[in-house]
Amino acid sequence: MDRRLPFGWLAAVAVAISTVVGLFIVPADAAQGDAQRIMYVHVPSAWLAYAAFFVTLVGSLLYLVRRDLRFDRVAAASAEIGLVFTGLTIVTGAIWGKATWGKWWDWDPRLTTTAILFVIYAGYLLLRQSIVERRRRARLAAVFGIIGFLNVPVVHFSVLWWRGLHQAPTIVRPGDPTIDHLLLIELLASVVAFTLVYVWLLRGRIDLERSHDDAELQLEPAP
Amino acid sequence: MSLIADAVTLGRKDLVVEFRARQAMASAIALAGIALVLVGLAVGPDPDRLRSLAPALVWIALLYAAIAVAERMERIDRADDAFAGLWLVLADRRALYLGRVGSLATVLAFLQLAIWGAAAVLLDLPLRVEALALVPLAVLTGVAAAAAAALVMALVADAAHRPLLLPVALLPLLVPTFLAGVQASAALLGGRAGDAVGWGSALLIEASLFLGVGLLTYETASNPE
Repeated sequence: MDRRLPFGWLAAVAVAISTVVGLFIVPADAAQGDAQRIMYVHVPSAWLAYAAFFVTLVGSLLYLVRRDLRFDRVAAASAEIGLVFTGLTIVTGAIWGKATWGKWWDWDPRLTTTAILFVIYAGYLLLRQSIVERRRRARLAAVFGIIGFLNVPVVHFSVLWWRGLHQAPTIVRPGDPTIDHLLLIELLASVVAFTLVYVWLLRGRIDLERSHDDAELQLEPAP
Repeated sequence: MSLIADAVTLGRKDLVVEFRARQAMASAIALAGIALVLVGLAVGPDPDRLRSLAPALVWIALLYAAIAVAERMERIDRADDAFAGLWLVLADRRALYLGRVGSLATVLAFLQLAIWGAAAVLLDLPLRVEALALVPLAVLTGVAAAAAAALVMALVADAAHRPLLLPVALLPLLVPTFLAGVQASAALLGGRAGDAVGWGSALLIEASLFLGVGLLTYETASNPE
């Protein structure tokens, strides 16, 4: 049996439970109504995108220090999943924006910088595709993985640095969170569920990357 | 030779090559001129609208220039394995990075001031005393853009899809610099010196971060092996 399967089931069950609770059990937000429920996908996606790119940063740094391809595989896998979560953040944000602001897209600093983050990591993956030699690919991608992360704080703090439509932080802020406690618990449960999905995907993607490496090394001519 | 002396020599070499050929600067200035004229025609003779567009317009031209100039400098270095020779000769390869940042920043700062001059005439910008601060701002933005461009150029120099990869990799990284530059110059032209200092500080942080990462990683990124 695939050793990742039990973990995958755990992640699926966690997402199913958090979805049911988010849609049918916790009350709707007093101001935004049901549109607010998309927050249980949007916020975990955004946090996991940050986390995934941070893992890419750490994997890149460790690769440059240790020159061990395992770290490069972690960095590449995490960047790919981070890109998916960033895309999910943008799409769910646009749906929420249509319901709340009346339009799919606004040139708000948080939206714009998140879209730029998406392009940066698309560039990271494109760079990886463009370099044939395995160790060279790992080395150059590691440098890009470090400079790419410089934009993540810009995205996070953009709501504080520029005036825009996107709300300021409601949880990670000085003082108490400005969100109802019941909604906060469901939000944190969604974060846990999505984190399990991230870990499951990461393990699967690393295994796939290892298989690619094994195949590539077999094809490389002997020194 | 010391790191700085090597960097100055390499930077001067880039500047002499650009001064003699003037290819990258000429194409950047031509693009900026066309953009200014086209926007002037499209927007019409509304001075307020034209003035409000000026900072973004100057910066779009500058982003194009950053790509054109960086690409050309790197291409010249990589021809005939010249870069591999430089890489082997230098004891401290950070000089390659510092030299490239210095020459690129100089070209970008001059370009920026030239484009501002053209914009002032064509878009009827109100040039108050505060506008003199555009000079240090041009230097600061030049250094920030050059620090990122030199590093990314080294990363994609031998990549298979370089023409596609360079803008995709570089332009998003330069967006924070672009935003801070637009805001700082708009604040200067609007007579809001306090805001300009705030955005200038953001640019300084940006330039320091790119320079720091570049100095630490350029040797790894540019290793021709």
